Amino acid sequence: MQNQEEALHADTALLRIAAMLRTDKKAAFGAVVIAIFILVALLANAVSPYDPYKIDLANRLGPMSAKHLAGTDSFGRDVLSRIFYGARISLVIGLLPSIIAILIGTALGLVSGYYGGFIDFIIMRLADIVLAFPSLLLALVIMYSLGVSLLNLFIALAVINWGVTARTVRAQTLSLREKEFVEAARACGVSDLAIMFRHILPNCIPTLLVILTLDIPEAILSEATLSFLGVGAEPPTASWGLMVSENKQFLFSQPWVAIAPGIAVLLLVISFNFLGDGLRDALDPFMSE
Amino acid sequence: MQSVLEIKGLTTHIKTKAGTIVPVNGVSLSVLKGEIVGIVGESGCGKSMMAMSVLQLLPAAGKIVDGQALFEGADLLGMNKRQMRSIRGDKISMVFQEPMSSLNPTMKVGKQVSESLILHTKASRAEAKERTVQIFQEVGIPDAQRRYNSYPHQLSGGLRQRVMIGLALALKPALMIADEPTTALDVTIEAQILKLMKGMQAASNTSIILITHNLGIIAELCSYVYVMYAGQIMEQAPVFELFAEPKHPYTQGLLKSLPMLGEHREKLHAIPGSVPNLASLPPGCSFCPRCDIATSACYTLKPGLEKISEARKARCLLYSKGVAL
Repeated sequence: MQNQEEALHADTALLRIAAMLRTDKKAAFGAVVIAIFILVALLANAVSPYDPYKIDLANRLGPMSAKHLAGTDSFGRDVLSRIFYGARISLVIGLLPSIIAILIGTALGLVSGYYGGFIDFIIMRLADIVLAFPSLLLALVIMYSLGVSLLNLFIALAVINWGVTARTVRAQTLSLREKEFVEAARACGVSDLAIMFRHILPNCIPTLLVILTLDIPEAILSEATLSFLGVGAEPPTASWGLMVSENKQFLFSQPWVAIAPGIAVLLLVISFNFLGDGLRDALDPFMSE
Repeated sequence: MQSVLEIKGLTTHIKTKAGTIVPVNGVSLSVLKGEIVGIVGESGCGKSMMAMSVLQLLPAAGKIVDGQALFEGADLLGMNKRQMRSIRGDKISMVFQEPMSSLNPTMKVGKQVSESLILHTKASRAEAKERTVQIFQEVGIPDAQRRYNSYPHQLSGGLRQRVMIGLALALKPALMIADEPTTALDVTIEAQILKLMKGMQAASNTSIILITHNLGIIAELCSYVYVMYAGQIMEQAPVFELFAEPKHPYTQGLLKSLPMLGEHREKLHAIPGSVPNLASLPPGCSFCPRCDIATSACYTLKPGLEKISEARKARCLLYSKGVAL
């Protein structure tokens, strides 16, 4: 009995996630790969065997070898080093705009769902407009009109992503604001703002975590795609999408140079998806309890 | 004695797809200082809506169309949002039916009580925490220090309701509205909670409006009772007089449907029919379709709330002067 009670007390979201990682092999794999990529990105200058920007024309399109594990590209730069450095761009691009998009979407969704009426109408129609466009097309348009730069890429990726969060948070707020504990908070004289952020928002966190793990790979993919299309990162930046794009014409003669960064994208995106699935399974029952 | 809350002719409308309904129809009641007043009635008779009207916590479709709610002399219904917020929780608090769903599942229970303390008394976090632990001890939560850091799902129903009562009484309000506070609890816990409420009330001299459908609870706690039906007060009386001699046929029916110890009955009495649809009330007395002694006059004449004796009133044509039944 005592043990049971202690177990109940230990039952927090964090411990659920830990338990999930122990049993869910796919999610654990995702978490490990993401951790490795984060480490590599942080320590890129220490783990990279070569300077990723050092051009060595004598050594163009070198094969995979002991010296260059992933070969060299058309400028003779070490592909592995460039992938390591590219992890920085991909992770930053994956995380920052997604987090910005989630913050914007959450704030708008809370206001929209809590107050309803005219504000709700305006915010939701804005979200409809954003969601009505294919997101890549919208990002392309924004990049073309703002100009190609890393900051504008952030903006474009944040703009295309806030709509889903806003809608999801609004839907949850709609159901949560009818809950008795919100009414009880109101009966205690708690202000609207405090109810939204202290009482409703924490109940949305598991959902937001899942949205985040789904948004990040999408942003990584979008960055790679936009860079591939020439409106993302600018050369000579080491970005995975750009690397695929730069080396695509050698796909048949020296495939590894273009495929290696592609595999990096694939690995990171899949890892985030696996982790996201695991998180949803671990946290959903927490919500319905 | 001085009254804490004086409701006069409160009328609330709710717009629904089926038309406007009137869950609270000209209700007047008064609560004296330190008194426990009971409001009893079937589900859907407007008890909760009346409480929500007083605190201006009606759903968006609801609207107070008439009446006054004088709280310590000031009309609550004329107050703006800000004034209402400073009253809620501090001067008038509320205990809800479901202790599970009225506590935020993502917040430690102690934090929820201290949030209210910080909000209304400008206490520091440390003071609020200390005071909260003290309140938890007062409402009989064992191991209060540890329970401060518990989440609602880690507590039993009885403990949760103790937390709610602690929350409601934390700021020593003048009035506490308890809306079916024990309906979700089993009987032994119910008895404990009622005892706790009575004890806390005696200690702090807080007035209580107790909303329930359970006449047993009324008999145990209240000194004065209002019987509500279809949005109206049907009968009001001091609790002993009501149980000894119910005047209104509805109250008589309610009392007859209580099981009694030491009495052999094949089947409990039940009032036939069910609560009328508030959107389409009969033109006469709203209870007449279910009344045993209704006459043709009952179907056409609306009875007023007639004074029967000094402290009693009933809404029935039986007591209306000059009406031939």
